[in-house]
Amino acid sequence: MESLPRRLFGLFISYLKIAASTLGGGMAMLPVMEEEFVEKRHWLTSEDFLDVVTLINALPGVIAINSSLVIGSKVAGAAGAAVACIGGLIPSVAVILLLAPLISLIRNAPAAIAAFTSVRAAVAALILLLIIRQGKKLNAGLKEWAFALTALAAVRIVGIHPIIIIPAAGILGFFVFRGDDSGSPEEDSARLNPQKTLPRKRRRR
Amino acid sequence: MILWELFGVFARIGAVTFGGGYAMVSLIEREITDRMWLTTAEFADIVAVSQMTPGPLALNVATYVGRQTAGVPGALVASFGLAAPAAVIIALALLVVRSGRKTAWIGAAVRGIRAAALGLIGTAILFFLESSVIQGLPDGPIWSKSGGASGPLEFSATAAAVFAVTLFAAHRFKLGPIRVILGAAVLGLIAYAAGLP
Repeated sequence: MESLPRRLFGLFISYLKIAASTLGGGMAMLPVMEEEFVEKRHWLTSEDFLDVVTLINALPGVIAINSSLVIGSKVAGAAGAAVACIGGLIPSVAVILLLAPLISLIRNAPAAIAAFTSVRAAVAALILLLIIRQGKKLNAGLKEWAFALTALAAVRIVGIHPIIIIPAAGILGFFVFRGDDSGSPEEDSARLNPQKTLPRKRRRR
Repeated sequence: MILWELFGVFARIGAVTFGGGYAMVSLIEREITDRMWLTTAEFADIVAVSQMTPGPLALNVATYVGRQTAGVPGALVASFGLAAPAAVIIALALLVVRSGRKTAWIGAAVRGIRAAALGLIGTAILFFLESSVIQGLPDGPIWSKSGGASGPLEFSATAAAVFAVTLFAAHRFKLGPIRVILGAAVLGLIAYAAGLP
């Protein structure tokens, strides 16, 4: 492996590039990172990358940020984590900073209101499709959908704060899914072959 | 102090974001509109914009909210606030992973959390439908202050048509979010030019 400064610089550039070129964040970045760090730079083995995917899937936090921290620290320790994280943050922060004045300038024009209203309706459709895809990916059965509907009702009808849903679902999940063979087979195979199964959901979030 | 508050709020959001940004849309929305940092409509707009920009939704929202409330320093503080808990959690998790292997009960708990996250993502659909297709639905918690009807029911046939068309087109033709969103914006502008409600 190259010297530490070279690795730090490489991490920074790689993350800058990946973050700037991947829309939708999170899972969309995984196949790109695999190509960059496993295939091209050979900083991680396939097993390392598998560990990374498992870890960031199981942890709270934003996937795009988590992955930069985990890969950065594997490649170059704490400094690597910091450098990768900052490289990953810069493109999206810069874009929003540039767009922010524009958005607040035009968003009250009648034509813009009409366009944005349509866009919101379209986003609702995109999210609905996302849920269906995610459900398939989790190999969701009746129990999973019951969890999902309960969570939705708890937030919308009862008014429970979403923060409470997460630990509650974890505790309930422990009792409900304990008997099942840990996790879904599809998900495990997705972890084993990230590059094979991920591209299907690359396009959209 | 506003910078400290921005950091705290987004650190909290970063600590509990599970299952992607959408699961947390209603949480983020509540945190931000309760503090009057953004209006609900403005929040919906920035979420829509974040579909077309690089980076995760939560990060885009953090940067925008920080920028609107406290300028560039606010944007930076909010963005780093979002990343801060992940750094701590990952440092701890790497220690755990190195010292032992994953146990089955974590798998079962994570499965429950992921399933519930699907439902939380569902709240985001309602959020977007309410700010486009149907306005004035009883909003959220039934016994909250806004629990009753929040206004006269308003139904937008144009937005409903856009929802149906984009749902079909995105599914049928596997369109990416950028095309879907730009297409929807064009449909909205055409409807506006044609004088449709």
